[in-house]
Amino acid sequence: MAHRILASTPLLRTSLSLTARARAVVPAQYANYVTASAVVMAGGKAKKAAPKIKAQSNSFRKKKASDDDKGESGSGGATRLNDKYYKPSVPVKVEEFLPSTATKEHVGQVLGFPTTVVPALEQTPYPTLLSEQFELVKPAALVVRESTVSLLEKVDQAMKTPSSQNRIVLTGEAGSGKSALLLQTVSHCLSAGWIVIYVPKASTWMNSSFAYNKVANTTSFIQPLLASNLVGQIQNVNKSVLSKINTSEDAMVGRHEVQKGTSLSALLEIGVKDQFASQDVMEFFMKEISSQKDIPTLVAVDEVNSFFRPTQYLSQDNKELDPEHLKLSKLFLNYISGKSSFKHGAVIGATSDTLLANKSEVLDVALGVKEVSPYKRLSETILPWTQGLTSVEVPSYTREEAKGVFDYYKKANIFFDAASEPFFLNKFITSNGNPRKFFTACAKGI
Amino acid sequence: MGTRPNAVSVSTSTATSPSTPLPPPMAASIPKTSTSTTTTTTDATAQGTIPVPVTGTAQEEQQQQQGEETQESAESAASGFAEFTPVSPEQARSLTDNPILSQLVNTIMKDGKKARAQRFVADALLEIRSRTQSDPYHVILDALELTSPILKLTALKKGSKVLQVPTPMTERQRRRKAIVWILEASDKRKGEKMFKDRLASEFLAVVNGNSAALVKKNQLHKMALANRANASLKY
Repeated sequence: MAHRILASTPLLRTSLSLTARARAVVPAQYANYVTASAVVMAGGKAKKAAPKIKAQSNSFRKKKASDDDKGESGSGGATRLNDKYYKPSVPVKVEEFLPSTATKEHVGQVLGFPTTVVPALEQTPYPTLLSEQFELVKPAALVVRESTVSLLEKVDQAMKTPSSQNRIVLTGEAGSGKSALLLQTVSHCLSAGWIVIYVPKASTWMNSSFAYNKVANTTSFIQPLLASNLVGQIQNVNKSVLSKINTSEDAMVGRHEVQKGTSLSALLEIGVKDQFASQDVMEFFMKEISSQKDIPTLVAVDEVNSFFRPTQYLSQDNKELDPEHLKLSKLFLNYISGKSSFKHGAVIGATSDTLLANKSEVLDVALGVKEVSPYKRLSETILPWTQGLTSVEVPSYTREEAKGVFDYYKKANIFFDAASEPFFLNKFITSNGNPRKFFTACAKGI
Repeated sequence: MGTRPNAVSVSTSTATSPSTPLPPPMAASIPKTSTSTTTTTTDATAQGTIPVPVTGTAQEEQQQQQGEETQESAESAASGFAEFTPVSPEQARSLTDNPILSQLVNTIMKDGKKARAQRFVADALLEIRSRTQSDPYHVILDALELTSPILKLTALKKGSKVLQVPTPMTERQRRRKAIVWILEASDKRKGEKMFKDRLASEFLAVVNGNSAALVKKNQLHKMALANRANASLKY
């Protein structure tokens, strides 16, 4: 009977082998019958398997040098680090950069950010190339320069004057210390108890990295997430100051009602939690702080040149949007151009040469930094926003300032050669006093 | 007299002597190097170049050199390798003047792109410094010393057999071998994208005792030890 089944056409048509076909024919109740030979075979297999396992666990497996190739210390910390070379990092002792120490007598001294100010500064990332220096040379400290002293004098005067009269843009060649100077101003104002709105990279607002939505029946767009982030950052930086100021009127921000007399930090909380209300929160907040006289406000914008050129966002007609079409940027542009003003305060921007694509010719021409042919057409929509800006040029290091920085680098062990005068002069002259190049020359020797 | 017909006669007439005095001979302008020098053949060319003092007078430099000489010789005594190549303290970490660092730069250089190679080495040195908080120059000296073999095996045909004969190497050859092995080992590093990170990691791995370059050196030494009988054969 079995051979008749084996020879039957359905089974023949399968691609199974003869033994497989024979097994397929066997009825189910006999399928699991274990024969003696099966037991013997299984035992043999087990014997073959066991010694392999045994060999792996009992044999002495030499640790090869090539095994621990990952990283310098090896996987799982198996090898020790050479104690001769690995030393703990000791930060350099520096005085604090306070309003009392940022004076002419201290020009050429490297002063660190005060401990009260550092948590506020760390809410935002430092400017890129400066942050690399800060990671290498601890603590984060900047030298007091002549331009620092003069700018801080202007800022102190701005404490009693409206911000429309104090709109400054820091200009200078690449690596000359504009962002550093701005950081020092921010630190100074935080120590002095101002409300500080610091934007370290304005280019991220315009390079279409944040989502944007069109506002109905207008040509404007909002960036909800960006506004929400900004609101959160302002609140974290100025927490103690803002909790003392209260709103002067009722308002409707997004879907939320704000009663008169709520503290500004509570107002900002609404913007943090609801990103679609954050644009209204921002506008109401700016209106409130600009109408009060007790506490001056500083708006510090790095990479301010991105406010004066077309953004990388596209409208529905596939045309590039200008910053004035983005509501958040327009809000800041109003203060930068003087259309809106804080009763007491200043607006300080710094240009950046980091990304060539972000350069604004209009701003350079308006500030007098660059000259173009009178036949060249400058954007008529952007040019009006640049009226009334004063340009402050940031020069290269003087010899005194460079010497102070050099001593600081030596103490921070950024270079290990002897700190001799010819060595210093070598670095100073080859870098032409440019702060960034001076750092590279000291740190890398090229 | 007894002069030979083609002898050069020294005449003091104004016609032959130059109106302006000749510059002093080259040897006088080379600054004094550290006193712990041994006879070096390979670095004669490095010594022959005139290191141009950028600023300051030569006197000032020499005074400072003598003051720092003792410090540098004490430092260089810590790493035995540095004694082979005398380096003046001012040139110690210069990528262009220091013979060891410039050999490293040249070995890394491809297609004549020297500035790129110098950037790599400078970045790697900075990376080592940021990881260890100590002088990267000494780390590199130590690493090169650890991986440089003391001899190479030359294949010599005797009859039909090819014999491996251990032969000595000059300092420069030894250093080059060490650099090449370190570069090859650094290329095999996974997870680190930038060359400077890989190179820094490799130098530190050598100094910590676990690098493929060290393995190669030990293998070579073992083979040389096995073939030490062939060393006495003429070649």
